[in-house]
Amino acid sequence: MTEAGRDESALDADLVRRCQANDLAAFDIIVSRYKDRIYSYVRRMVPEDGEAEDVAQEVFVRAFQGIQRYDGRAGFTTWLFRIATNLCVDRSRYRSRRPQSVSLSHPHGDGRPAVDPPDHRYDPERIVLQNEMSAVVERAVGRLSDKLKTVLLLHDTQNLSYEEIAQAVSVPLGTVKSRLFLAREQLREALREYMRGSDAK
Amino acid sequence: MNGCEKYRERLMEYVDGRCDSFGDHVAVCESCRQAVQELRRVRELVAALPMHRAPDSLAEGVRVRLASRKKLPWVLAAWPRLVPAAAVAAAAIAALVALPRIGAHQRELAQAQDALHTMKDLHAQVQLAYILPADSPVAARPKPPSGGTEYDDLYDLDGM
Repeated sequence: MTEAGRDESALDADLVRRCQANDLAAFDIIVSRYKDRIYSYVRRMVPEDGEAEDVAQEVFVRAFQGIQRYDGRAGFTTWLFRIATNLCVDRSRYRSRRPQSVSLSHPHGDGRPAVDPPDHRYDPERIVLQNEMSAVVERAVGRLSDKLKTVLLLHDTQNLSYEEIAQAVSVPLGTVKSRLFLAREQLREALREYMRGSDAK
Repeated sequence: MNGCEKYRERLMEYVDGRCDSFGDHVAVCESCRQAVQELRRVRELVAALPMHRAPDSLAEGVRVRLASRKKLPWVLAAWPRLVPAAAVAAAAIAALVALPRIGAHQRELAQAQDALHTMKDLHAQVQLAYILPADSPVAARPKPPSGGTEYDDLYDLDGM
């Protein structure tokens, strides 16, 4: 672990101790520190915009409710992403059992709006969509199964180690490596043409 | 990767910079070398995906949910910790309720066993009455229970 990583862990440990003493201000700091990472992860696991915020809020509520039982054996980040992963998988299972309806605002079913309304505010997502490669990668990641997507996102976008992912997802280390391999292999196939094109440029 | 599928875990570690020893194989295997290059490119592309910024309403939503859930009855909030104690209490209550009933059932069982023994004795006497000679003192026919007319036909075997 880097020195910065150790500082972050020490700060988390201090905040957790304060939360365990029912210090709500400390929990506010935790939410503020992790809200973008958790939301970003959940948003890719649960593509519907409104649902992603709902799930992300629930992650923090569950974390607060369970923080008395957090014993520090897993890193706090790992523990938080474990809660997030469980909630995302639950939501995904619920969605797959629910009769499918077509939203008028999101007819594609993947969060892309039918008509992109003019928005003059600074919008990072809009900039992302203008970047063709990012949009292609985003769609390819979205097509992975939940199991593969979880491992890929935790490793490549959230910087969790193989060991931390094994703890967060409750699978053996070998399964983490194997799923990561399969996820990247599927992306390699899906993005092969784009990679050749972009490399040529 | 032809024939090298068995190395997939080591290949993955090599792509992520965790297994330098696999470099010896990559140096002599063209397909693995290409796979490493492409998988590293995939990793870079995924890692370059932008962070989705959380909506401003997220933190406030968490505070509202926590405030509303704190109003839950304490017993619901503490339920996970209360389960073992509740199980012991339920077992104790069940024992208190069941013990007097067990006593009553034991008395009923004893009465039923007595009645069964009486019936067996009667049955044995009826059998003896029809096996032994009629003048045998042992073969004296059993008397029907007193005042019971419904038993009269049962013991009136002469007409059969």
